[in-house]
Amino acid sequence: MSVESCIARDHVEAELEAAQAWARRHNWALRWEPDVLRLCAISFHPHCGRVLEIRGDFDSYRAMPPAWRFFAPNTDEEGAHLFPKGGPDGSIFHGNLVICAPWNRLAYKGYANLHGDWDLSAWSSIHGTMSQARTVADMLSEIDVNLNTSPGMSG
Amino acid sequence: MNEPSNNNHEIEVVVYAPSQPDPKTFKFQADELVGVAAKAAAAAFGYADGNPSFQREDGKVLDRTITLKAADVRIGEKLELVDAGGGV
Repeated sequence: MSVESCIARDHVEAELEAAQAWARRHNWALRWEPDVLRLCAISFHPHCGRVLEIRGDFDSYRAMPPAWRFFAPNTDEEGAHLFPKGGPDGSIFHGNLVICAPWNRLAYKGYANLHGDWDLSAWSSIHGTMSQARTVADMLSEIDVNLNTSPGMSG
Repeated sequence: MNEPSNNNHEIEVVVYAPSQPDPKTFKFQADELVGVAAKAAAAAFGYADGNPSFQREDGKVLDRTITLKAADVRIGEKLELVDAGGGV
């Protein structure tokens, strides 16, 4: 299911203008690292104020969705204190510290396995009442929407 | 400055969609449900499915089940199209 890096890079870069426009409207900072196919998004938790770095790894995009993780800014540190707590009305921020949505590779079987019933290769056509996002900017938007209802960090 | 909405009249709003850099202007009836209006806007931006709603500039997402008037949407307000689907 993997795709060549140059193809994945082209797919992401075709969506970057809209993602940058979205980021400007929402006061996020984006850094695209084409050599490693990684997008780093910097924002802060709207309630507790913690600075967040959300990284998306886009190898094999769009054959597979990106893998999204939260880190301490400019480090490889992860943990409950860096992962938002889910809000009260059904959040993508899962208690096992993974974004649970069809547009996050880590939710699938073989990764965190939150949804063994989802087909990774069909990620962009999984429908329902769960969070939907088909482009980079839509994914950032979904993270932002859920951050706004998150009461704080998980740990 | 945005004007308060009156009774059932047209409300013109500026809608952004994450997937596209430029906004579009829409006119909705004040008594139209947020979810219905958002679905129409989503279709205009090329979104074929999902659970669309509008996000205000303060980050709050409008309840899809109430009218634009009940949500106090203002003439000229800038809204962001979002998906209101939940976690799973």
